[in-house]
Amino acid sequence: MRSSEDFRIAVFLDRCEGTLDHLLDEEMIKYISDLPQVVFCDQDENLSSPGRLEKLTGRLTKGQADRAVIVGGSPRVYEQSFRRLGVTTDLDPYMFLVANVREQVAWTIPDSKRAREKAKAIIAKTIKETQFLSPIGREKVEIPKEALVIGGGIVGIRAALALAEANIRVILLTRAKDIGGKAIQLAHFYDRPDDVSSWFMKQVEGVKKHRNIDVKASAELKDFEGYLGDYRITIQNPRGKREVLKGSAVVLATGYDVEPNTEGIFGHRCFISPPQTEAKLRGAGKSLKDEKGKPIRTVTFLLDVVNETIKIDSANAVKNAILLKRDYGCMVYVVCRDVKVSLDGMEMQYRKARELGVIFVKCDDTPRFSLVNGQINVEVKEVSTRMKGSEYSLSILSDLVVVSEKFVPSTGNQMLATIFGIPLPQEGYLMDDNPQFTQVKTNRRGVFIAGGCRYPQTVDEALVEAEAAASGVIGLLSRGVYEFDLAIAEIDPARCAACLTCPRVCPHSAIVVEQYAERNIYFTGGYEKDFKWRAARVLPSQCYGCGICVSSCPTKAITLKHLTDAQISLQVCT
Amino acid sequence: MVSFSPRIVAFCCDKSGYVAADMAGELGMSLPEGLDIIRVPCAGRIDAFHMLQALENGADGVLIFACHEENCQSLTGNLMAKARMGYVHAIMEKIGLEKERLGLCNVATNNGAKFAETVRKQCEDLRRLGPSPLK
Repeated sequence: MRSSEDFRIAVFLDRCEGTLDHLLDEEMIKYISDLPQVVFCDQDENLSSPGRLEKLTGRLTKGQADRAVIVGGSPRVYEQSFRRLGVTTDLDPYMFLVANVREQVAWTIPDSKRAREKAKAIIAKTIKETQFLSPIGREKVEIPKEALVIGGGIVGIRAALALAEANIRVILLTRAKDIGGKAIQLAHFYDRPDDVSSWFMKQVEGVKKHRNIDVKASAELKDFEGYLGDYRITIQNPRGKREVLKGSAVVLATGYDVEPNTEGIFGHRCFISPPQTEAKLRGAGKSLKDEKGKPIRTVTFLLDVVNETIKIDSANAVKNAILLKRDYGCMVYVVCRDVKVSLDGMEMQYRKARELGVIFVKCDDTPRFSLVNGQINVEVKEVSTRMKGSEYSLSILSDLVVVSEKFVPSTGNQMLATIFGIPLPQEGYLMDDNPQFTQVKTNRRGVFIAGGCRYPQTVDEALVEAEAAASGVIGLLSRGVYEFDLAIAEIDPARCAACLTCPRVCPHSAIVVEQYAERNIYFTGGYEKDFKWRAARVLPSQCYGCGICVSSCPTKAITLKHLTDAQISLQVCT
Repeated sequence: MVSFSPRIVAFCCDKSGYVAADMAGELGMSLPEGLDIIRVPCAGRIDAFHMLQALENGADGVLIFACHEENCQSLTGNLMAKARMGYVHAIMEKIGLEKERLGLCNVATNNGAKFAETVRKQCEDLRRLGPSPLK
């Protein structure tokens, strides 16, 4: 700690438009001015309004004070404006503290005498706390305009195109032999009446021809390291040759897997999966026939047997039901627990289907199936018209039963989660940083996820996500540099015992263990020449400054620059 | 028992607890004057040491205000705070301090009323328990 003469404090009082007039009067100003180390004390009507803070700091002569205290409202009000101010003046943007006497005193303690005592205590404590402040500074990271997109499905393609159009060089990696993915199976999208294949092939061609996009097919992901602006991905091609690719940001769009449902009667030729339906519809001419040439008259869509929370099936079923009814005159039943219409334009499609005469049957239990003359008899207990004591079952003799495939997380998700450091919840889909606030972003700055690796979604939703991820990347990359305050954790390598606690607890994968410390005070053995001890290091651009590692470190080697242990101890003790 | 005004140290997560505390102020809810609010970037920042230090230095009670579970912006910060609180509870039991003096409350940013209510309840509990024997 420095000696007490070293620092000079400027105190700014904010009367908050008269709210704090009774607290911050002449007597209080005198009390504050008499406190040790306070060199400047002035007040203003409303510091949070634009320009006022600049005006007040303008009264300070250069070098008069090296740290500041604002007495007034919540620190959340002043932080932003003070940090902006720190760029233009010689005050460090982090060398200031706020004594919150509005929310914590004026509005919550009605008794004026007690309020005054409490306010004095808070101000004195805050002024005392300033001794622990140290300059924080800013750092810049160069960000070349390069991005990596992993996954060659429709989401990856759309993200790559969006990035390439923003003049960012993109490397598109895919495990498959060619880009395209699953969307190519669809005959058309529910909200797009035209033929999809020509539209989609155009997109694929666009990716292949774009001068900003490199496509690397048959690439197996092996390793990932680095930080925002310098991510490095190691890939391996089928011949075993490894290659390291660099990018400033990463979009993960690896999609989901499907498991066909072929157990028991589901293996019968009358049961088909949605992709097969799509293929049948695309291949059909004027009339729909099955393999033996018999015309198909009745089609039953079976929903909610496997994927109960995923709405892709509902969208596909309604979309295809309309086609079958309108173009081929089939009798169409949709057997489901709930029709999921929470999609853009889906309500209208559902209404259209109802108007055309598609019959929706609501049931609670899984229907029973039996073979009758080469047709499938679907026996359903219909519940939507259920009254007390009455319940009737419905027999639907169908030529074709469409049963959904099971959507499962991609088998690669586990590996992705491990090498990217993204949390993988029980369901097996990659997790956003915070599902409520920051979708598409992950816990690592500069790594985005979109599409089926988050959760299976319909095409239009997935495309929106792809664009969201792409615009997230563009937002980070467009300025060419990433500038940030060094309000982060810092590790003293000499004290680090390399116990690997902090890389494990860090929620943002911002800590790596590197071979760089000169020596280590916890290592008692002899040193060889040029021996370097491994120690943990915080990647500055990845750190969010949450301080979880600080309190987890068993050797207390980590300090959080903007809230040191000493600061907390001081606040706790007085 | 003579009524006294207990000193409560409240660690508030910057993402939820502190905003809730601000909101309690905005709503004009009365808070006890012995309440000391300490702003931390995440509940996971709070060391077991700090909880004990607060009790040692004359706090009658300690409260931790963290985000709701599975809604922490740092993924597991609130769970870590909870685990550390369990650890400190064990220590408190050993040295003969009442466990009720240290508590954790999950709040959202708009839970100003819940914040004030929790503090008021803790205050009542502490009045019942009496001043901290460590004072």
